[in-house]
Amino acid sequence: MTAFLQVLADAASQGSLYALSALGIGLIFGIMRLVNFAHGEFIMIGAYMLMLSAAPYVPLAILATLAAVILLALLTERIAFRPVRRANPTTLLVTSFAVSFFLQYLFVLIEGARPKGFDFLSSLAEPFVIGEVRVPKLNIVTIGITLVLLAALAFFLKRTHFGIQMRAAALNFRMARLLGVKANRIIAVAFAMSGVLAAVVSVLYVAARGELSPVMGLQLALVGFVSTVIGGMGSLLGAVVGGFLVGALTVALQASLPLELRPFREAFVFAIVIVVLLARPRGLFRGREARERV
Amino acid sequence: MLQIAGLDVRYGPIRALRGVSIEVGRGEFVGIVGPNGAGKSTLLLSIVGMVRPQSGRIEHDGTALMGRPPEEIVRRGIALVPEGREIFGELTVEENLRLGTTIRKDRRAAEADVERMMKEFPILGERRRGQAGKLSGGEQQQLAIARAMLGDPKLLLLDEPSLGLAPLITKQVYQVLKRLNEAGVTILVVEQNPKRIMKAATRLYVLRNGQLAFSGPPEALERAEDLDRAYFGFNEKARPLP
Amino acid sequence: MARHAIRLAWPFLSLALLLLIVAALGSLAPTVIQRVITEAFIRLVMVIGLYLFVGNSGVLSFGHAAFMMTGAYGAAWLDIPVKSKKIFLKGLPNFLGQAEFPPWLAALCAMGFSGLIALIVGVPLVRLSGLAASIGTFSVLVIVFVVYSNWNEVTNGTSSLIGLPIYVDLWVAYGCAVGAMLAAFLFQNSRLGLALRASREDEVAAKAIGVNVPFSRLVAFVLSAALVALGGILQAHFLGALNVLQFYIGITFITIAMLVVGGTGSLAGAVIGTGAISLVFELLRQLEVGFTVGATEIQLPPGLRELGVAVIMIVILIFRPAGLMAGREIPLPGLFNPSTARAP
Ligand SMILES: Nc1ncnc2c1ncn2[C@@H]1O[C@H](COP(=O)(O)OP(=O)(O)OP(=O)(O)O)[C@@H](O)[C@H]1O
Ligand SMILES: [Mg+2]
Repeated sequence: MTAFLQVLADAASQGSLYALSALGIGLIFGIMRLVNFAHGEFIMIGAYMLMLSAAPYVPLAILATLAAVILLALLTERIAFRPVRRANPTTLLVTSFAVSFFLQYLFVLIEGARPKGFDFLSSLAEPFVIGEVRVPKLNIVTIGITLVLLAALAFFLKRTHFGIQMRAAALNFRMARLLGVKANRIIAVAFAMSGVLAAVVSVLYVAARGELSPVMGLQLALVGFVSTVIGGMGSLLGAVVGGFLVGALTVALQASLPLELRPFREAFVFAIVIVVLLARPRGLFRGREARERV
Repeated sequence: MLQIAGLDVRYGPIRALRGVSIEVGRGEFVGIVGPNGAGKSTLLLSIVGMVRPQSGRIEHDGTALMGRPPEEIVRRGIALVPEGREIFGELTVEENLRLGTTIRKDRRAAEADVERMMKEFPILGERRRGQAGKLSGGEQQQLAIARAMLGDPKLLLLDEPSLGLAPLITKQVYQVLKRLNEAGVTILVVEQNPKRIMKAATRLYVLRNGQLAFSGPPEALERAEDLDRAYFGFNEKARPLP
Repeated sequence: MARHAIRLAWPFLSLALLLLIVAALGSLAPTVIQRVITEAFIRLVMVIGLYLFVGNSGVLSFGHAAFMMTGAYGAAWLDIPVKSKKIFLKGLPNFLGQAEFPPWLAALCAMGFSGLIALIVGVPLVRLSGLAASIGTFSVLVIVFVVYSNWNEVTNGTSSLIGLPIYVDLWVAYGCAVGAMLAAFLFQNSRLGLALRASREDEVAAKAIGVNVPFSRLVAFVLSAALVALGGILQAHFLGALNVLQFYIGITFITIAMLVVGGTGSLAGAVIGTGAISLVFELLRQLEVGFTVGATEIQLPPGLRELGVAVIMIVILIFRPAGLMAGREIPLPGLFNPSTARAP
């Protein structure tokens, strides 16, 4: 029982990070059918920003990170993605692939390819003990922040006029524009929001790992894709659930696979992606679209 | 209010509109009819900036519209109810209506208008929290018109509002349009079936193969053979364009 | 008659000739430059392989580096000297552990092996289109990478595998590049290839006229995997060493960049794209290595090459989305072209 609770707690915090990454990718995909490979680099650059600004005062560093990543997201949208906005999803994907490489090697150029250690909020690593279960404080913070962000996002999308515009644009961009929804603004806001999500992941990830490198984003971006595919591309709720599921799956495989198979964990996860693509192309949780009546 | 001159639209090799010129005056109720593929939808989409014409001129109250994005054009008080209605099926009825107020600056009045609209179309009020996609076709058409109205347009464009509707429902839809027109909204309706629109419109254009085939008062087409001639082009001596 | 044949084969002949000129000039140049050209030819084999699938089917694969991996390791299993295998590859099954094939046979077997793997993963994957296909193929890449990185007994894990016979030089690479182009050219003009190209334009319409889209895609996928595997094999036997990291995201990006920059729509696009990116890559490498202007030594930090390629790729995607060649082949000179040539 204790072991199970322990695994559950680990899965929840791992899943939180994955869910946030997936959400950042899912948000942009929903609005403009762009699978944003560069989301991982948003996270990576956030981590470097945090390291560069961390010295004096932590809250300020976090704010600077948020601002920098939002700006970065807006810039990439303006410079690279807006000109190809009308292209097909594959071209968009290739573009984001190139942007991802650009940002990654920009940081190889500036900061070097080697991973750097960075001690950030290491006091949060102390465990919080409930009965027999030991949960690092950081994990609780991670889960808490994730829940707050998810609630805020849900409120924004459901209750504010701009949120409704955004959902409408995701469903039918042409019609939304005919009602006066401003395409550029909607997309810019979506990118800014994905920037916020990325920056939060930067902070939590660095605090957990104490290390950063130019290639660190790749792993998180991959997990983000996997989660959005499993949850159903274009569904935000699906992305979140997918993220938690992949987190749980990773932790569960880690705990249950025989030692010699553990390194192959990721291969299993990606095999599941292929199976989902083939068997449930709309994701695990969405049934067939309720047919619209004519 | 709206002047279109010499409009040419191509989709690749297909010439959807060739030198089309029409005019809509303030307070008018104008109809455009024509068979499938005549270019009717293309014309309306060009007006709102969703389709980019090759050449020609579109003016609204003396301002050139061509080249402006749809977001900007609808803010000038032009609304389009597109073919097939295009309501947001996964959103609620109320959210669909709210979206209609996107361009409004007077937020409070806009909210009140949403409530008023749900009284005016009782079915929408009853189903306000239900998914819009679950409404029947006629109900969806009402929703689409109501949504367009909430932007407070001075010029309302409708693309085949009677498509797929039972005659009785079509009649109701036209009653709504009539009321709006009497309240001062200028209306331009595209239809494939000329029957209904001939009764409602004050002026009529016939579009065929991307070109204008007739323009004038509907009474001029009252005799069935006149209509056929304009519509299908049986007789090339059809009434010359003014 | 001969004229007719030349006209038909011109898209291939023109490129083979172009490469021949490059190779001939290269053979006169210093060794450093020869190596650069050889590497470019090896890349070309990979890009042509990728083109065979992507160009004809219109489906962008992110997974072809997996077949470079299976090819390169497959050949290494067969042609590394037995005594090296005893040290690095203890887990190889006996029949592989004892084998020492001549390189060409090892290469053929490894291409066949890669084709077989492509067949197995291809059967389900070719049913996917668009984005789903890209993500599906990408998943294959990750799976193969993870397996090869961790299956230490047969791959030496993430450490390098050394002791491969080095037999690839300028002319071997040239021969393989021309062979790959010939294969791609023959395929795209075969009935199957033409049918597949029809499905690229309009999948539904192609199905309606009786094209078996999944089947023709599968054939292209298997052939292209075998060619791409050849690219991996050449690379391994050019360097004499092998590492799993050679066949992951980096090479995926470079080969896709080459194809996209040249244009996915034609064989000439694949060749020109490879040439252009290789050239830029080499120039930037010179900057990274360093050079002297007057008395000052200028050296730019590493990472510049990838950065440069990414910038070029983004610029092309924005301003010339169909690529440099925009789907065209190299035009026929007037002599052979009935529409421009004068009647005798
Ligand atoms: N997006 C498009 N791409 C290519 N061709 C198009 C496109 N939209 C319309 N067309 C073509 O342009 C012509 C005019 O189409 P349009 O939709 O304007 O006709 P319509 O009069 O509205 O017909 P209907 O009564 O069937 O709605 C048709 O030949 C059509 O095939
Ligand atoms: Mg139409």
